[in-house]
Amino acid sequence: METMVEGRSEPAFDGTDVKEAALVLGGAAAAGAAIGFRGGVGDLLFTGAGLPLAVLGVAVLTVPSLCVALVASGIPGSARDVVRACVKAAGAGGRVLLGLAPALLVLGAVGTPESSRAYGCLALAAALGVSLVGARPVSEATPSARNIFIAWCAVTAGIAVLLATRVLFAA
Amino acid sequence: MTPDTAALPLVPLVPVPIPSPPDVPEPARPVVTAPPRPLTNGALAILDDLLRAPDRLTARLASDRRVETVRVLLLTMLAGAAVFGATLGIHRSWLQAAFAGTKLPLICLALAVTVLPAVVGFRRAARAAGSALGDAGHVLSVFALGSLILAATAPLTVLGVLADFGYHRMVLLATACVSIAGLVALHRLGTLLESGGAGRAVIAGACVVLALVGVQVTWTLRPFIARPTVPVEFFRADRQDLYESLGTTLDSARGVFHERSMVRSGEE
Repeated sequence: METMVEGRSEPAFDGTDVKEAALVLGGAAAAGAAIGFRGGVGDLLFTGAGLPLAVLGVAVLTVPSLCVALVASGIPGSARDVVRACVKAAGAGGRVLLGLAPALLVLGAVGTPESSRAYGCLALAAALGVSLVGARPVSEATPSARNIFIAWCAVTAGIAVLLATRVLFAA
Repeated sequence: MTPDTAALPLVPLVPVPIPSPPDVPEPARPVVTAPPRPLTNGALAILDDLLRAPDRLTARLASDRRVETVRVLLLTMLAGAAVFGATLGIHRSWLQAAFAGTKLPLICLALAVTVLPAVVGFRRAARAAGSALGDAGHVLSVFALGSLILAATAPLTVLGVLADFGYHRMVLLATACVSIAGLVALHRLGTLLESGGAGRAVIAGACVVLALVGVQVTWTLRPFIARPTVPVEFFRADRQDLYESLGTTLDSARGVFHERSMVRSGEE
């Protein structure tokens, strides 16, 4: 997928973006598997696959709206810049989840399935916070962009919480 | 004017202040700093740096002496925790001392292995400088320091044993000793991460992970001191986690008592 900019063709996304996307999905899968292993293989597979899908769902549902709103508000960058910034910020959240997966595994091993899910919610909340804070620079161009970003964060957090709880507590 | 007075120099009646020479700054003395002490070999030198020179310890971990340094830090972590655990358990019996002296090093090892990926993940998420190996060295040195401080407080627990402290007093004493060691270790962790370019969020995240995992793992591997009314065992068979137990305790304090259920492994 390429876009023509002033007679030059530039790739929409490069290897760095793919790596960041892989990190966020891999981190979600690792954290999901660590949360679900106490419940058996079925739970492990359900949460290990369900959390990355939930992350993908949140991104697909919310990032296009952010692009439209920010570009319409007159930020200097393009929609592609917004998407790349969101992917990079999500990659930071993926790193957090990858780093917390061993801790979730240990807590699941020594606790109960319910406490394992509670710790999982904490870990997901931390990763979401890191991702949202990491995406903030994309909105610092104008005051209206900042307000749009704050509203988008609230909606994204709500969708993320609802999807994640459906995955974690449905197993 | 007479010829006599013509040759007289004119002397002013009012004394004229003689201007002082302009202040000439003293030439700057060359600053002589003591050359940095070379890294000396030996476990005691490493422990010396562990206690009071974290930057020298970091230099050791980055030098070709890292293998010896890691070995000393690992042994310090395990031995310090074992010594403190043994002095806790001796309050009940030699067997409890052996159990506690085995469990505490395992807890330290489990915490170090669990916290390290979290520190690496947080630091990379914050795009702070550093490497995973550097983080591993920092985490190991923090746990070694905590264990060394714990071992240093062992005489206090021994004193409590000799003075026939009751179970609850020993628990309070142990809590105080662990709190001192924990605060020193956390402070060192914050200092090392900050010097490596990590921000407060990374430090806070690492501390939260350490606290949550530490509390849960320690609770699960209890007892360490052992109540006088229960038999000595390596760990309790019930799988109640800390927060359930806290809830039960709070209910008991309010006069609401629950039938205690012993859940053995395999029956879940």
